[in-house]
Amino acid sequence: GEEKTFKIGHIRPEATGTDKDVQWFAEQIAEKTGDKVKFDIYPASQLGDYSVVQERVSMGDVEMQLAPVGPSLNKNMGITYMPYLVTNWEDALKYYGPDSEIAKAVDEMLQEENIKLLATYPKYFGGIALKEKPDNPADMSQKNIKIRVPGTKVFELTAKELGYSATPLPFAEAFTAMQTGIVDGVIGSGAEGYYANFRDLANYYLPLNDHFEMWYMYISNDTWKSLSAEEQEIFQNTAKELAEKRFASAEQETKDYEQKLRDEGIEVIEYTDEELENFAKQVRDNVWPELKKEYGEELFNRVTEGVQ
Amino acid sequence: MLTIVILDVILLVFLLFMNVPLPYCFGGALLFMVLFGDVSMQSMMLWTFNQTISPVLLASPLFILAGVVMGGNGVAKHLLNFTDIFVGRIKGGIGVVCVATSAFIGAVSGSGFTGVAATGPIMIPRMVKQGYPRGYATGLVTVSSVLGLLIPPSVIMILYGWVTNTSILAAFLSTLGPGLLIVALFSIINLVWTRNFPNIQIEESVTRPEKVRIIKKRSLLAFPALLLPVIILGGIYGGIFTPTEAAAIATVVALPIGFFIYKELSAKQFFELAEESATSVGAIMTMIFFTLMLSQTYVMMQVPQAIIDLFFGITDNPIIMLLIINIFLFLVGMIVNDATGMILVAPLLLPLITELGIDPVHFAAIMGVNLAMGGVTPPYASILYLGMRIGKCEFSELLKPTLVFLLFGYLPVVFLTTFWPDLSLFLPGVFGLLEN
Amino acid sequence: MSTFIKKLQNIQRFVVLCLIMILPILVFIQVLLRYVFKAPLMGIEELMLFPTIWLYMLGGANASMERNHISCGVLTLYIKKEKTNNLFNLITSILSFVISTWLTFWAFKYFLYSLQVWKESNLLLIPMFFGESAVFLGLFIMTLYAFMDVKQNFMKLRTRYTAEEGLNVNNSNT
Ligand code: NA
Ligand code: NA
Repeated sequence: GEEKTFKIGHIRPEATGTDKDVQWFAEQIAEKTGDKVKFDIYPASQLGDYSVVQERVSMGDVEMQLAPVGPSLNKNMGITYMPYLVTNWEDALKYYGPDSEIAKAVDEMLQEENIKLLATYPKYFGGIALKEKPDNPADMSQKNIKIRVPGTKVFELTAKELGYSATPLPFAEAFTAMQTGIVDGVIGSGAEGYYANFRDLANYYLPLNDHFEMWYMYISNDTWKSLSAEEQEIFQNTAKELAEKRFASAEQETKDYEQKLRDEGIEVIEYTDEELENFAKQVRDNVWPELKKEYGEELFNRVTEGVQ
Repeated sequence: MLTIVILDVILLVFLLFMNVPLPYCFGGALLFMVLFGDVSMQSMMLWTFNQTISPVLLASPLFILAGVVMGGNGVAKHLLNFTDIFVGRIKGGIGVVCVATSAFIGAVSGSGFTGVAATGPIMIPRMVKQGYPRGYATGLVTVSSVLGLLIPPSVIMILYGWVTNTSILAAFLSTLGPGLLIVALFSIINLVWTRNFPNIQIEESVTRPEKVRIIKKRSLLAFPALLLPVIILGGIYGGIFTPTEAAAIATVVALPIGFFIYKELSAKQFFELAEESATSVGAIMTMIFFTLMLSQTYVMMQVPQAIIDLFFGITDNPIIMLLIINIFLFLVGMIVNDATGMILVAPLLLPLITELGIDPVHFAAIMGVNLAMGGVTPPYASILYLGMRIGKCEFSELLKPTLVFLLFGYLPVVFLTTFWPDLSLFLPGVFGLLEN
Repeated sequence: MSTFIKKLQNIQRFVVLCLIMILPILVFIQVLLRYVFKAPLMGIEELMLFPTIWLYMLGGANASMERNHISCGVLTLYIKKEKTNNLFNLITSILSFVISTWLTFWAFKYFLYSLQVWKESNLLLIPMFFGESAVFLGLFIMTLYAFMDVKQNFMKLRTRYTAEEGLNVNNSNT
């Protein structure tokens, strides 16, 4: 067939780990197809917010993206941000990995949007970055600390359950709000994200593992159908390889970024497994029933099956 | 691909020259890109809609609203009278009053228009009455009103922060240093130049008790006006509210000042002002809507990468590159206005800036000082044309004073801003707003 | 101009006026809630996007109505002859009309898309259609005004020609 150039977007700046992974993917595909399929890479959300790009992929205007799945067309995509579905990497592989119920559910939901899922891409465990140290960081009573939450119900409820006052602010205003003192901290990101944007503002990092950040690599169905069977196989195998590579390195990356935070003089609070389980238990008891209503019993039971 | 983009820019300039309304100029350039490039309009509509509804962007229209209200509520008049106390009786002092008031107004308004619209109708006749040439008076008011974009808050800095994901507060402060320097230079040029005007009259001196009475009265009246920048900037930098909230509060506070303290506003006038600002907001936002779309088509066609390659093909000397960027931005400022120039160019140049290792906050100042000037550099010179209408003077009368102020007062600051990063980075640094 | 169009214009004016007053008040309320009542409302930002986009688009329509869109305007400073000026204005308004129609066409397709996918906002679950439809409606009104401009400029040019030929044309539109 003729030569094709696909647009692939992702949400991290140039030269970051994610950008290099996308570049690796693009190079592999170009090499294996004998330069029949090439990529233009658009880093740093150049093609828009990931929800918007997901819609653009469903229209077939942008061919691929590596990002979280956005809830704009289907609210149930929000289930991937389920707080405390897992608390450690071992469980993460089980509940978020390629054969997990979440991955299957996401695949089905993406199909409805005319999108084909190629790979799951684990990113990090989330936490809270703060200016001031709370008296007892392992305690869940009300702390009178205002933190910025993304404008979604999941994070609002989780933040409140963990003992913080939730102030909804757009991400673009989060840095400024924390700098000027409108808020004292932020939730919604992890060590990597806080290192990139908040390392000069935050003094404490609380790796609460409140949510597991999972990204997905997907392709427009229209584009997928335009590929030959051989090309489809190349895409699928390369994506699988990327996912395996990522699962093998993600945990270490989180540790590296926690160390980088320490090197910047930020205190990373240490939590015992028991303490993390405590957080998890309380959030599961009090927040999950709300989410069950939100996402419907069927989907909820499907992804939480096996979690105590 | 690049050929298409170049042809597209030529078409854009043609439409601008044909006097086509700005939203349609960008719309026309977009049409060309859709016909000859690889862009789907459906997806562009989706993208642009989602960009435009951002609450961060909302700060811009709200500051436009605040500016329009400020132009009608008497704040400008009382600020002028107040500054007049200090320098009014020096030869050429009224010129300094004019510059200083524009800076003050700049601290509450976000656009370049408010300066001309609010101070022009009061200042120009007063200066002409005192013996200043009409062209000089109009020119000074016009160039000074650019300070509205350099003294925070500023619509173009909001736009910069919005499209490049840079802290808006840091971007605001980055042009404050250059702005204050311009205040000083314009004042000095004015004082030196007015020495040569033969027929300048100075206000008659008054008796001492009379003078004390005037000072008391004017200070008291100016107090609420002086409080506004404190509320806005103090509120933003004191961590009380976000820029968007500050803009709303500026408007909400400016209204009772106009209604009850200065009694310059009636309900009828208020509705007229509100409608006027709604129309301005609509004109600017529809223009931004399509500029944004056009800019995104350029990004999709990998223009930023092409620009990087082009620049590094010419030279790898950062000083020469910055000079070229300055000239480029000056040309952009000539043909489009400040806001559209910012939206069109910032996303295209940002990757190059990152590659060169220039701080995005420093670049905010470079773009700010260059594009703010765009409003007074023909052919597209909206602020200059508005000044001509308000000052009732011909282009030829206005040309010389405008050029002198730009050449000796403005241009040196452009270069200082470009090659002396501390001028723009010092203040954001003091406030701890630099990310790296 | 017909009274019907006048009535529509008054409605448009009124709506735009309401929108520009609602927005600062909504923002102000959010600040009050945060500081006075210590309880920021989740979702007020989301709520605001609807009046915001309507203000932008209907404000744009207002600007078209008042011929207040920003334009470069440098050539008109130099064209002194009335006939040349009229011809120039006609060409400009035709260009604007064509571009506006094309943009409206795509806005209409986006309108249909929005109707079809029927997205809801994240928190308050308000159908996004109520915001997205503003793009089409605003552009549609702008195109109507652009058309009226073409018509008016055409009339002006024709009136002028016929007047030069000594004919007396009774023109009810001007
Ligand atoms: Na300003
Ligand atoms: Na210009």
